[in-house]
Amino acid sequence: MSLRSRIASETAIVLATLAAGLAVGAAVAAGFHAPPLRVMATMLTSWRSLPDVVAEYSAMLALTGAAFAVPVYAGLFNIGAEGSFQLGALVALWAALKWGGLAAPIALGVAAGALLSGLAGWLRVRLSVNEVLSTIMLNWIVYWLLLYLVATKLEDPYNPQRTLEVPRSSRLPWITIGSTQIPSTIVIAAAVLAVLWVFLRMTRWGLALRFAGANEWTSRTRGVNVGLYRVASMAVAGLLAGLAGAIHILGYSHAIDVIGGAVKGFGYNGIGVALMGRNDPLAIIPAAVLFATLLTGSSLVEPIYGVPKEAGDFIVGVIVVLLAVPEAFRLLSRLRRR
Amino acid sequence: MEPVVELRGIVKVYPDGVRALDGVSLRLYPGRVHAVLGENGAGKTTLMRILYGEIKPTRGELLLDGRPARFRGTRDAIRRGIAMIYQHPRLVPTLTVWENVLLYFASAGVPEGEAEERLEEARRITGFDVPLDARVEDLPLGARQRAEILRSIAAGARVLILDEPTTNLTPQEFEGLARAIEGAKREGLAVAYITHRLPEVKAIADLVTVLRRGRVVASELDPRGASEEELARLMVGELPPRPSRSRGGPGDRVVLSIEGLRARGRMEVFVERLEVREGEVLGLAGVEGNGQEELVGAIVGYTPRLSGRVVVLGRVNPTPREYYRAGAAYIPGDRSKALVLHFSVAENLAFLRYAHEGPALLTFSRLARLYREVAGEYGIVAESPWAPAGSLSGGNQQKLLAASQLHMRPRFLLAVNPTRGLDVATTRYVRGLIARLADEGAGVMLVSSDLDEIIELSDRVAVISRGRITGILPAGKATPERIGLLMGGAA
Repeated sequence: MSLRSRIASETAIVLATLAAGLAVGAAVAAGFHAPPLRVMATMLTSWRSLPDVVAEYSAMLALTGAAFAVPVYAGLFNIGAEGSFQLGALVALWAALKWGGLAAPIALGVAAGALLSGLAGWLRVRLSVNEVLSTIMLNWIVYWLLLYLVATKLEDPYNPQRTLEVPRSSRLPWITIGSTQIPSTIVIAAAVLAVLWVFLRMTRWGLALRFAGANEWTSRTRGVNVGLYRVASMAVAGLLAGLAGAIHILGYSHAIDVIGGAVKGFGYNGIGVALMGRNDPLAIIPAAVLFATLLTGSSLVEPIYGVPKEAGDFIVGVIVVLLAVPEAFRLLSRLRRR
Repeated sequence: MEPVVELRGIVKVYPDGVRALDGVSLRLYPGRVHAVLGENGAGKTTLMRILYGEIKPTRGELLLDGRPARFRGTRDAIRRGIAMIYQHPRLVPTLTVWENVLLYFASAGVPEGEAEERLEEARRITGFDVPLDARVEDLPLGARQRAEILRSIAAGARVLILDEPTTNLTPQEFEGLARAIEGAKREGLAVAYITHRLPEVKAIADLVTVLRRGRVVASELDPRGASEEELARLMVGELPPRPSRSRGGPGDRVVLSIEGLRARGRMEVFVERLEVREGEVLGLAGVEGNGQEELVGAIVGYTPRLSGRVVVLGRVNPTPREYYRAGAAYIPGDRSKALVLHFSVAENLAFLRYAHEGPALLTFSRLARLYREVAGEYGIVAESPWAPAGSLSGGNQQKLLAASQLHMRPRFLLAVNPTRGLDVATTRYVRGLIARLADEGAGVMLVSSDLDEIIELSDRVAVISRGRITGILPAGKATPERIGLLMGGAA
């Protein structure tokens, strides 16, 4: 099949599944006696009422999506973006409170994320510890550590439901477009994904990384250190998720609430984004924007139409699963063949 | 003589528009071996799959004993006495041979009570003996093929289709196959023998029909009346010349030396002493699985060396990266293992060429340039550099693999079975490349289970058996008989 017809058939699949998902969503809305087309239109245009939320969620999901995508190229399944994200946010908050400024919080947040995932990669390569299990366990370790610190060392004495806020000197600027303001994290995310795409598609190391994941034998016979690339791919994944967590706290939420709601879910949702984006750093961007739009939209359907938020989340889930299925299937069948 | 089956004017157009067969007719006679000769992609296998009821022709008819017949599936064909032995055995790997026989008998409609008696009869006809209680996956490919032939004949086949049956056989096993075919002929079976290998046609066939690009170019020739050159020309149109070595003789510089090397992979190999000089081709002959894989891995450096020394272009015991950086190259024996078939042609090329050392930035224009350079020089035909490598024909995949290494302008080349499964034209082409490389002064170690290839190209022939070098012969003394003796382990 030629490249053009591959792109055409892929586009057709995406449009067809998207249409199917929207149809299911409309049916659910009708089931709650809400106007189906208007509910779906609201969900798909949530950026009109909440542009900053959609922009921020898009940026975060694009980065955590990439954090799932990169290790896949090396043949690994990284479920640890959640933990890296939260650790990155936690460390960045702590560094911002301690030293202020942007350099130290971002650098330390990124490093913490990279170390955490890198550890899972190292455990896999050196001790054959399955990375899916280790990353899930590390996620929980980080989560409970975060809840503990949020309620103790980092607690704001005047607002005990959350941590102290990031000082002014450590906040990322917002961008003003006309009358709307959006966080600058979206620019950072887009730039990072573009660099990542160039690295994977246009450098010798990117090529070696993809071969290490696709064909270990040939990589070894060509002098590629497969284990090193695997660990590095996990470290890069942690770096991306850690960066997401750091800039989320510095550029958007500025504090973490005692139940961790401000930093929860981005890592896991990134898996869906990566699958929807066919694991390609550039295609992940529109996938992240779609996911962010729908997520934001699902919070609007209750106040406007009286459709429960759970129904909105259900619709998001159906659409994401349908769009992610082809790639998930491809990855699993490739994994089984190994 | 009346044919058992006759295919008349068969046309097959695949759903993607490929016209695989364009009006092909073929008759199979009782007690005769009819060779169907053609290159890869000539339509041989498609024709046989139609005869076996596996696919339906777009046009044309099938006559069985002179009467029109129509098969709805392979089961119909089997019940009418047609048996197909595929290139790669299709037994259920997790079952025993006996269980596979019973499965087949069930489709053929043979009562289970007669099974043992019939197998005994088939054993007498073919001279094959296969352990019935062995699990298929534990058997070598040759034995699986023998099991398939045995059960087909036992089930009462009248027509036996053999599709490239020697792909997975050693020369010794080929002789066994030839005897079994002889036995089947005596019983009056009609045999269709699909191949692109000319010596086999000369050795086995009573008739030969040549296909080229889905058409019959010669029908029911007597193979004894045609030379190999003539058959080859019919098969491929025109043929590149046979490669010839100028044999200026080896130079003084040693490019590969092995001393007291012990290495272990699936088996252990020990090589006391082996040298390759510049301008020389050293052939390494041997039956597959006698330590070639381990020796090759130990030379390149991806199989652990337990003791001893490998010196490649002055580098002692190199890692794979040092091996290539020293100016050596390696063409592995299994192209589907060496390439990533769902990656593009250009990416495969760039990786195999540059993985050890190369430009940091591999932009699309640079990949396209590399592809153009290499495709032009080595005649690779691909839809585009961005097409998946798996979309290339086997011959083009092999050229891609070889080209990625020759593009390095290596001073030492290690090539393993570089022409396995290739058609005559591509085989000559690839051998020509290797001969030219040596003539230009590089040292080559050619590891091959194809004796013709070894003899055609080598200045010296080393023979490996059970992990040991059993002898080294100069080109003049390297006859198939002598090499064969050493392959068997005779000193």
